[in-house]
Amino acid sequence: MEQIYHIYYTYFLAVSRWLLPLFGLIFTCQWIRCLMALRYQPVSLGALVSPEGKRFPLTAHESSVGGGSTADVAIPSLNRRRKCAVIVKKDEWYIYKTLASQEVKLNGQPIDRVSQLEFGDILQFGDTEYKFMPPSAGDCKQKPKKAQKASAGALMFWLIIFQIVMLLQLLLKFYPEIPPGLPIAFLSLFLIELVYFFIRKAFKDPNILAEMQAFFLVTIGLGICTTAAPATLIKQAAAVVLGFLGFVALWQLLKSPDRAMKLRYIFGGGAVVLLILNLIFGKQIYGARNWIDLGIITFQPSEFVKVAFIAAGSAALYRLLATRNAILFMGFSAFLLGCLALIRDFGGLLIFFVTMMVIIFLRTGDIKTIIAISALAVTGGVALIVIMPHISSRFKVWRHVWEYANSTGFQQTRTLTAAASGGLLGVGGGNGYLDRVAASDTDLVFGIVCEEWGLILGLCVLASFILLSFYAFKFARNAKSAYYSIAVCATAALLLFQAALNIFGSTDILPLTGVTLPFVSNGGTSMVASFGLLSFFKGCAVNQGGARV
Amino acid sequence: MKQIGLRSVVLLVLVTFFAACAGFFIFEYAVFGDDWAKFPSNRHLYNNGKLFKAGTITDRNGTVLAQTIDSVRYFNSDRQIRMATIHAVGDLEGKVSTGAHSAFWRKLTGYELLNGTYNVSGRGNDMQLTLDANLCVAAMKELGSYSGAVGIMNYKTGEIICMVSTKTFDPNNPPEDSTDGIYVNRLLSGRYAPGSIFKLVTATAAIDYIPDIFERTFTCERGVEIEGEWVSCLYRHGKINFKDALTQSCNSVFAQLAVELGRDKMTKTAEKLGFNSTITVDGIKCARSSYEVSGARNIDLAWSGMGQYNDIVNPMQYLRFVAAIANGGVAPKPTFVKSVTTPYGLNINFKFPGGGERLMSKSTANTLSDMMRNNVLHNYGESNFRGLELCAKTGTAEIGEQRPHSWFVGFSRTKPYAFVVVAENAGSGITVAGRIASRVLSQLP
Ligand SMILES: [Zn+2]
Repeated sequence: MEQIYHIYYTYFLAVSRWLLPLFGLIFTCQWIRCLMALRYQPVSLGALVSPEGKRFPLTAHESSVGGGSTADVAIPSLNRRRKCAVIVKKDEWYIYKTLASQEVKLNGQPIDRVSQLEFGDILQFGDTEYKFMPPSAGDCKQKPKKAQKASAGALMFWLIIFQIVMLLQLLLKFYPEIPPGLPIAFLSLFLIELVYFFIRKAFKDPNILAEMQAFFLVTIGLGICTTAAPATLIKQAAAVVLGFLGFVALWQLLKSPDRAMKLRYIFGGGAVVLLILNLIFGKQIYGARNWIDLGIITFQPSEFVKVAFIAAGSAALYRLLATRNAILFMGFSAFLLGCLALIRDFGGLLIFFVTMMVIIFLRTGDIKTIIAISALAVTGGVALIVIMPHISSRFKVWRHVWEYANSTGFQQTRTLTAAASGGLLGVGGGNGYLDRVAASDTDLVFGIVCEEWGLILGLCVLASFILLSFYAFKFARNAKSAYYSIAVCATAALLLFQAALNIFGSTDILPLTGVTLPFVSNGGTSMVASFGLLSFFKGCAVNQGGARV
Repeated sequence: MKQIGLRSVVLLVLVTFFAACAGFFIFEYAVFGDDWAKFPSNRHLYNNGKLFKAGTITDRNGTVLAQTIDSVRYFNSDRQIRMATIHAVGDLEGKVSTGAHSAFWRKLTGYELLNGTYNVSGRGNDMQLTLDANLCVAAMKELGSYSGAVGIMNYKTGEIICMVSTKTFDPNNPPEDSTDGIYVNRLLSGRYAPGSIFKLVTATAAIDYIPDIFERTFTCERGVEIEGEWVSCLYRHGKINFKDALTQSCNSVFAQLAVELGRDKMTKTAEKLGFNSTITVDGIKCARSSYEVSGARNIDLAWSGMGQYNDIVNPMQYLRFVAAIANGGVAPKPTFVKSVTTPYGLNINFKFPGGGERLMSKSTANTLSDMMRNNVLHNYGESNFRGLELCAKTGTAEIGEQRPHSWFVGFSRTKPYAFVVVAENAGSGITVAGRIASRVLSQLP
């Protein structure tokens, strides 16, 4: 009986190792088509009309008013460098004053900080009066519609097919000793994605692309978990379910920009508390002291801090322009970075640092500050490398792993060997050897993907993170609030950079830092936190201004 | 919001960084991928650092030299065959870097970019070598305790039927200490002072550049004076012509010829014959033969013309040169792989016709051939090489205080084989290398 299964397996493997990369590629291409088909056009929400009758249409839900060309409403007589007001559309219209030195009057009365606005009101910036008027048909030129069809249904179909083939291959491979977690994990994933797909279809949600990419990565992660740590499959599946619920909850919580703005302080406080708890109760596993043991479960607080960091660091436009520098945010970041340095989580430190820089740049656009902080960080980093022996040894082996193949270059050389052994199509799930290397299911997952599922799927994983960045880039500029724009860009940057550290660290393109690959690496906290980050993508996607074409 | 939209370009900077890393990885994967896979810790192919996933290696008669049974690799059960062929077959840990297991690793394991180490049958490709295991054993026995090499190549096809290097070892009982260069294939990687076999190079230059060479007579006073310094000869040959000078290996004549030809013509001829460049055998790089006289005084040039001074010869390069003389001036492309067969029976060892390279004109080759034939008839003794119509040249390479290296090179006119024999610190060319050649060649198929 077993022999028959073995023959089935041999044949199925010979075919499915071609199918999986093929379906992975189709999924990726279909995903790109869906992204390109999602197009939004600016729609006029209202307009400022000058005394000469010139109309300044308001197309964004948050529009800045100022003298320079980067203002949404550019009034030449105003201060060119700083914006004096932000006109915001929530349920009602509001105007926020953002520059103390520039008087803004509403119907003749100076505005103190914020004031409600109605059509017909007269706004006075400096000497000039503008009438706030309802939108008019000529405000925005409507481009002709291009019929582009790309259905999320097809995307879902290819994902399911991909998952079924992978599941069958793994079932046949491990028969008759199938890990009980294997069917459970895949079935719960099917359940989540199908229920979610149909609910979003009922809501006529055009954009579930970020979620689909996450499901794709989770699938590959489950495949790795099956071969590298089958005992943890159920735990991992639970983390996926939990993470998914957290994703839905967080996205609902951030649905309104006002609420998101208010929650920032809670998230900021939460991040600080988590890291302080980590400092006090932290346990050391693999070098960094970034685990907390609660008896029943252990978790890594720094993973959740990533979510809180972005939620606390993003802000709506009126807040950005009112407090032009980001001193408070920088202080907050410096505290977090200090904590991470103390718990010796240097991979995490790097990720937070890059995310912080992206947030500071998005908030202030201040390249001088960025350069100054970078210079400081490089100096500090070099000093750290020189002082700390355990970091300098990592740098010594970098780009020389084969000279240290059985010491500090052990993991990288095994990863490269495994990746090369897999070829483009892989040797099949469970047939690799990299899973026997310590921490391979978290730090060396890219090597396992290449070895067992092939370089093509490895490249699909790479593409996944690049595509999520394009997603953020595309939807950030059209969001209803700068809060979502900043959050989605920061999240994409964080995921991309973390993926780079993991993938290129294990393949010796970058120094090995031992961070996880979001959605793929085995580990509950990392999975839940990754889904938490996903809610910033969703928040941005559901809060798009303009009209879908 | 316009401003935030502009600033989101920072993401593209990160994407560029990421894509650059990805591109670099793909580049490295494409270029170094097989080096990564060829790592003795790769358990797809190696077991405890020893290669096991590879096809069967046989000699030209089908004798199994190495094969894998149940994930364990075995060599031939006969110790003599194992030891005689180990440098061609190669050990399992890559110590013999020029052996098939290492040099043809890709072909044997079937590793390729698309499938990696996977193949449906779970085994690699089979490889048939052009070697004759019995002839190799004979050559190894004749070399006996000497370090050295014996190479025999079909001068029409380039197929090497005998490739033996000593000191050798038994892969089933590898020695504890690996001194004596046991892992070096001396035929491919050896570099020796050539002694008088180099006179064939000087003779080639003389035939090509001195039109009346066969009309001239030279004088040997048990040596000759070159610019006030003495180049000694073994005998007082007196008045001697060019043809007899090669047969008697007269130093005086070749010293004068080298000086007369000059640095440029000597170097040009030597390089045309394969000196100062690397030749390859099935992609394996051989050690370089070198002829370097750019800074030499005339006395050095004179010594260089008879294989002393700083002349260095790689046995494989010289075998190819001698094969070219036998083959009308065209050197065949040397090879020791006959076929590579996939598990589906497909031969993937593609050989492109016309791989030979002309080293000298046909008439020069024929002239040299006749002179070498004359050597055997009038000096080395036809009775030692019965039925072969042998053409040959000996060499006794003086190396300081040590015993000289013993050389014997040549080819048969009745069977299409050229040969090279070198025995380190063994004494005179004809008495050691000549005797080894005589006994091995008598067993030619
Ligand atoms: Zn003489």
